[in-house]
Amino acid sequence: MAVHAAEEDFEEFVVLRSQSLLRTAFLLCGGDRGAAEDLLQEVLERMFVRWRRIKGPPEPYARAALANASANRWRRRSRKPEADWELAGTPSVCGHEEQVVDQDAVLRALAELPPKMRAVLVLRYFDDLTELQTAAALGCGVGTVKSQTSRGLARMRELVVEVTR
Amino acid sequence: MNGIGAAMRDAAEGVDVRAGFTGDVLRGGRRRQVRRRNGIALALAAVVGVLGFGAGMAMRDVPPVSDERLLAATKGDLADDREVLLTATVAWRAELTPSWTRDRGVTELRGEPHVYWASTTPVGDAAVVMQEGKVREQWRTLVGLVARDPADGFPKVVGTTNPEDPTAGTESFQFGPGDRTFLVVDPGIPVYASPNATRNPAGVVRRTWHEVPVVDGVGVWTAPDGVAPSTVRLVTSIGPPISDIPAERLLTTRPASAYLRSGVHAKRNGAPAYDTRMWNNTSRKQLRVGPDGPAPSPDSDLFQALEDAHMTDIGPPGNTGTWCVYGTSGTGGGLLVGEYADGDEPSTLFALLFRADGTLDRVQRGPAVDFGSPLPVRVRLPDGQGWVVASSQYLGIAYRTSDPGDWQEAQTGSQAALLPDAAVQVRVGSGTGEVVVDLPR
Repeated sequence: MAVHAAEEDFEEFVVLRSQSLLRTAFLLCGGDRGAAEDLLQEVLERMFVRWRRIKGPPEPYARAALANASANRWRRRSRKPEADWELAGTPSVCGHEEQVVDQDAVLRALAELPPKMRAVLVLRYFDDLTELQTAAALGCGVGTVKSQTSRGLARMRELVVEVTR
Repeated sequence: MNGIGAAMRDAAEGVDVRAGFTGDVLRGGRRRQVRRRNGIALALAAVVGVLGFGAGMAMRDVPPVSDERLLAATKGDLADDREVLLTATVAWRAELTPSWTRDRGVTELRGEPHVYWASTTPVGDAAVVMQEGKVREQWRTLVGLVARDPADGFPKVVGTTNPEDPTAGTESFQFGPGDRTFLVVDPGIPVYASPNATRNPAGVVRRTWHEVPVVDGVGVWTAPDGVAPSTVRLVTSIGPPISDIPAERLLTTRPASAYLRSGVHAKRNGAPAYDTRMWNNTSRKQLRVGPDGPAPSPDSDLFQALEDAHMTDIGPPGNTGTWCVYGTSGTGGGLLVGEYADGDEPSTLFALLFRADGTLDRVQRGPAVDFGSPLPVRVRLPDGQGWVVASSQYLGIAYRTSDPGDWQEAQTGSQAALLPDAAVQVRVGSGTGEVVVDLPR
């Protein structure tokens, strides 16, 4: 019954953490909701197979897998941008107009960043990972995280200004 | 860019998973697991083949088992087909989810799945898989059938035994296109199949039986064209069954399509669904009619009387109505009218006629309950004894023997009445709510 217990654990994890993970995936995909669902489902299905061999808390594992999968995914499809610029940033929540514009600008700017840089920013500022944790999740050095963060923030500023102009 | 985290959170707020996402993930994960195990096992099989080990090389510990079938070599013409065996065991493992075991009261599994039989059938390759499971502290053999799902062509578990359900304990399955093919794991005594039931003019049920050949430990039988699989019955019998077949000899089956789509609670073959034709919505359940005199108990066992008269089909018991009309007939005997839905048949009216001494004289099968009529119960008794009529919604019954003609009050304020045999029309209700119903001649 160990197999069944593991599957129950996994199911509980999916039920409890999918919403949070989907939001990470949403940002990693530059605001493409459909792509985010596909990405998360793919990552979770892979985790199902490996579930009993995952060491440590599964959520950081999932976030790292999402970040890496999103980067790889973009590499595979780099010749053909997946999200239409006009559609990519469509927010799913209606609110104050200014807030909508701001959210739209953030998503558009994220979508413009290189995938690795986007992943660094999402893990650092949305998932609140430390530089060390981000480096571990992405399989790179802390120095790379520092430089990607610095350059990413600078690029985001430029892009947000361009989008909202 | 200060506040980028907050901006991201604002942007992602409201993004939530779609309904059914968890189920999609679990299904996808299981599919990946099956594919992965397939790949690993095929690679292992290839390695074993290269190294020259025989197919029977044991690669695992064999636990003590109580069912010798779990230790027997696989039977069937595909017993040596590794891909078929592997597919069957992989499908079985994927099927035994926590909810599967929980629904069946299985608290523990032991040993490895064993392919008892693998063979070609008229509807494609199939395999019977067995494994021990602990149910209420006892080790039981769980049995499942792996066959191709006609909906997508993929091999799947299409039926399993359920040790928690006594009506589902037989090792018999129903699968293939239209669920027309039946498979029985050798119960040790001959198996007979009957495609459908017929009734003679008196309503007595008749069935013809064909012995199902059991080959390599399994019997496979396909329903003839034109026969609804739901009318098929399988029984174990030393010789050809004649009548009075004990219910415990019935081999129940659940259609694979229902198992695959609805899971463990799908109805089993022969079990009647809830029948909306049943005339069950009257507030009064026991309606007395006729003159004063001896009358049977309104609690008389209609089903037993029908069974004794061979008017019920073998299979799970049907539905009797929750009402009855009872009383004294014009000849001084007793009468009781009720309804019974057998299998997929419409719910039908039956009249039990008793002698003056209270013994059952005869059982008469009437028409189907006319559920949509204001007078759903209209039974003409034999030998000119009259009509038994009843309404579920109207109070007050009158009749007349010609049209036009004068109306005669039968039972003021009542929902049921015994009318003269010459009656041709019945009026129910009163005032503006009156409704007239013709009696069929």
